[in-house]
Amino acid sequence: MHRLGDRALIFARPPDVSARAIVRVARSWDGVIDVVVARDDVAVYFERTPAIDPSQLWLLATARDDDDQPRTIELRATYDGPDLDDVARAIDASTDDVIRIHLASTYVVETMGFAPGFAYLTGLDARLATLPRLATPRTQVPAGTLAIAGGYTAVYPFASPGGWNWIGHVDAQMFTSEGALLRLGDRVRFTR
Amino acid sequence: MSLVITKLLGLVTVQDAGRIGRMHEGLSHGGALVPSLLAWTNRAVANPDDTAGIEVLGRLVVRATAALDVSVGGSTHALQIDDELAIESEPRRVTYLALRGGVAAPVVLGSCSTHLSAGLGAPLRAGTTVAASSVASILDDKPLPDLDALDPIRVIPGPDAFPAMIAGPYKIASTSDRVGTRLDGPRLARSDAPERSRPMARGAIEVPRDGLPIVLGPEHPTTGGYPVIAVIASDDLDRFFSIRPGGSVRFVIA
Repeated sequence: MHRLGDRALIFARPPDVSARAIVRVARSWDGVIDVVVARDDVAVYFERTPAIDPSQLWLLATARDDDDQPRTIELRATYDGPDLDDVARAIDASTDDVIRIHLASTYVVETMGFAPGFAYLTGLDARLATLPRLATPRTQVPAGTLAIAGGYTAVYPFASPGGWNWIGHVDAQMFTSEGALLRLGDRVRFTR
Repeated sequence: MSLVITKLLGLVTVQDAGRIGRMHEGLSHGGALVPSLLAWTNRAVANPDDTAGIEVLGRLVVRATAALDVSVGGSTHALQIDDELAIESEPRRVTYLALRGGVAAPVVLGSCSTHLSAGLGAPLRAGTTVAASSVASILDDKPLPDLDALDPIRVIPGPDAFPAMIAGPYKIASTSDRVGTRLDGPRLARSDAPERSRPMARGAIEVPRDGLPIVLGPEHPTTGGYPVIAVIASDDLDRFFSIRPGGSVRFVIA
């Protein structure tokens, strides 16, 4: 466990515990105002000087999801991204195959970060999961960009620099005055 | 009771304490760049510390369209109709304009703060009318930091390896914004270890590939891939974010 300044602590993410369960448990700790779960790390942010005792971490490592059924969100996608051909070539398939493979999976919101409402979706088919990031990131991709890289697929909520393979777009607003469209633990399906 | 913006140069937004409790969905707190200066400004017109005010990074001229009491960085002005008031953030990076009763602005996700990275609110423009709200007059009295102290800025090293040469001095780059404050000065060596996306914090000092550190501000991404060599002590954040572009800064281990 390390200090992240004098108001937060950062530690390795406990294995086999969902991000949703980590957030629910850690946010109930005394003095905690926020929690961020990344792929390998968890940060807990405090109102004052942080304090976590070992028994809390042990409980976190055994935390389970509550009984609420995860939501399933459908996102209508248009597969018209400029990297679609390159992705097809990289996995030795046609662009129609890439689209069919991407549509077939049910994804899970595993972590959120990078930008407000940006959800890292796991569950990518093994054939698409090996694609790396672009060698040279684009200086800007538009809001709604649907992309894959590093074993994840995601929709960019806002125009931003983009280092992922751009395969299409989604019209849904991923972050609004109501907050993020997707929540940790949500199931996500793409439709046409 | 209201005023109209007649001239504007720089970034001018409505800010309060920001939005706490949504970092798990990627939304950093946002809010005032220097909350204690907003508090000081609010107290001068008898508003609670976190009342929404206008944050000025640059220059602003306003004209009163009715008599009203305002405060600029803590000095009060009883404006009469058609009075004009020029406001500039110099010699600091930022100043605040508070209206007695607060600035009327829509509350979104619990705050009036403009958060450009999240598409919430928008910068104010010349021609915009700003109306006063009617928050109850309650004076907070928690101690506020001395923004003009000249001591080095204290940092807590880590979580990544801390290079001794971060001491500085560095200059605040003019390309700085509410997401990140860029520092000009000695380039820091960094390892070629693969970057992985990790949780970030306001005040985190990250080192991108060019070796020139960036200090994360209120609209920071909640995760990022660059190594973080230190985080500014919470008591020194406001003093750091008050330093104007071109001003110099030194760091010391807390």
